[in-house]
Amino acid sequence: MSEIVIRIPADVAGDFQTFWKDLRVAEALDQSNDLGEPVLSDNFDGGAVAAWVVLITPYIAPVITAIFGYLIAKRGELEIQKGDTTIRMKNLKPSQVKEFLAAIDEYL
Amino acid sequence: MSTYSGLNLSERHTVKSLFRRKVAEPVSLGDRNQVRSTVSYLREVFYLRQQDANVLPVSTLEWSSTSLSFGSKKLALVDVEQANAVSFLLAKSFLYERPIFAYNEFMIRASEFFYSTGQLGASLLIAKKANDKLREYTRSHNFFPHITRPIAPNNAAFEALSSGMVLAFVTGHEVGHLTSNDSETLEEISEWVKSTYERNETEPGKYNEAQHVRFLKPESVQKFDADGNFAGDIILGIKFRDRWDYLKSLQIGEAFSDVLGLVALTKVAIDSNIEADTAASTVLELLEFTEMLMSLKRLLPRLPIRGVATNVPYESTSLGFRRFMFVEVIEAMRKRLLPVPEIISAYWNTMSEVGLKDLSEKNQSGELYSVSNRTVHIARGALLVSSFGHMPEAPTEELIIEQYGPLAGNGFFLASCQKIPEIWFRINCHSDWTPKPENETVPVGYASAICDLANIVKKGTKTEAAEAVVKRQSSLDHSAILELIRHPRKQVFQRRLIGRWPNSVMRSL
Repeated sequence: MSEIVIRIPADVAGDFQTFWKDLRVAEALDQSNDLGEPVLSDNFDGGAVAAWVVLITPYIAPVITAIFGYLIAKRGELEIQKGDTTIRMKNLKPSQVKEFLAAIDEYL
Repeated sequence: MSTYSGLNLSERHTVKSLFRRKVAEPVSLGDRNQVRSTVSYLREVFYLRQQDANVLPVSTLEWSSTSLSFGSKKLALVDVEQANAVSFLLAKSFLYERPIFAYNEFMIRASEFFYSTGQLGASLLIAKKANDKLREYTRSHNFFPHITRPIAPNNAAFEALSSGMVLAFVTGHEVGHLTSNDSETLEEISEWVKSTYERNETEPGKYNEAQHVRFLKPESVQKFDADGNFAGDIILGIKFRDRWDYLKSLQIGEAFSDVLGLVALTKVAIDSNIEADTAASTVLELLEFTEMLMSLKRLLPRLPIRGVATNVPYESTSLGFRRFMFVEVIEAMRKRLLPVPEIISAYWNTMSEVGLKDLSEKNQSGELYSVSNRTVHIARGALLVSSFGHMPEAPTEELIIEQYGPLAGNGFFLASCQKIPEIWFRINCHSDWTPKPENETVPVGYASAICDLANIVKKGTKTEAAEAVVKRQSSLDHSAILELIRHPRKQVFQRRLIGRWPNSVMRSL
């Protein structure tokens, strides 16, 4: 399934939605491409996380590539399936970004 | 996913996407029943509606529970492997086993985590390292290939561990995350937690008269350059201040959930005739070991890799606060200040006066709190030892005050890790370990494991090469990989080394 999972600390979920919206407008996409209400999760160690599952489409892909830096700065993460392995991106090491972009590209 | 979770089709699909972990093994009937009975007990005691406490037992290779909420719908995924991981560590600690066995557990958990997140090369190299250390340990005694595994028999502890208390606590804690003010009883508990927090929020400083915030400490970041050399620390003071109220609300939420976890655990303790003193010490250690496992899980993807500069952030721990609250909760239950069933209050009243006094004194003096930061100190220390090859000498008190000024708390916090004895990070120095208060088995195992993990992960080219080797081996399916990862544990259980790996791929790594 061509999906990407976005996770971010719950306290910055609202800011992130706004940021996403700005990117969406910059890409001239319509409102249906906004992020919906997040799924909130409380982890056992006391971290509260907001998460979205987003379908990768050719329209959304540029928006996804633009959120990398924001997510890393706010200690968020991205997760994608490649074959039957799950790749998670938590830092901006060039090799990881490359692997991730390749995985997104595969779905387009 | 069964239909009783009350989620519609698309929500179920979302849960599956969000919770894409590798399954460890099917949840056993016994564990399933334990989770069910805990949930139904909490529903009954706190007057919860069915839809307020949907709990699903799972068993994954990321050994951690989580709770999800979709607007008003909520679902907790209780990971049985989390309870298992904590129970294993509790067993090592209660039976005073040697640090190599705790080390082994941390290495296996790390290996499982890397496998679940798709880094098979690192995963198997870690399993291999754990196996090498086990062999080294065995060779240092005269009974090769038998593994010398001295234990201090302790029936009370053994009964406590086999009663399912840990799983009950984990389940209760997750139910706590789903519900906060769903009934009057819970609202009363929630208010009590908040007011207790506020009453104890500040304390006088050690070096000056000012009132200091007690439970919130800023996050620290360790920097490493492209060659993996240590390059200084950052304290996120200002950034932290912005999140203050939010972090406080998180801590209050955790303490509230712990109250429910404690009620669930107490019920099991009563049913299994476990003494209150044993239950209390179980909870204190359970909280620390959970913290260690969760910090390990956060640390693993952040470990420095040679080739690029890395920042390793350490979130401030809420363990100190949770332990502090645990003692407060017990005292409140004894005085019947909390709306919990009478049998629960009566149970904690059976705790010995000496045990309680000791606990309470440790809590008020801050001893329980300060020792709670050691999870962070150990991890920071392990990365320093991995980077320098030895533990650099700690700065003197005068130097810290000179550098940081009179409010030198951050300086002392950063220097604490350098006071940990270097041998804590070297598992082969503990082959003849005997129990001593300053040399606890699980922290030593934890320290050595992180140091070895950092050493493996930083050689990025080696883990990539291992990955390539593994990918060429088509014979490795899920169960074969699990067998390799858990091979060191299997030998510990059998108390004997097995000469051959279950798959030849390990020889080519």
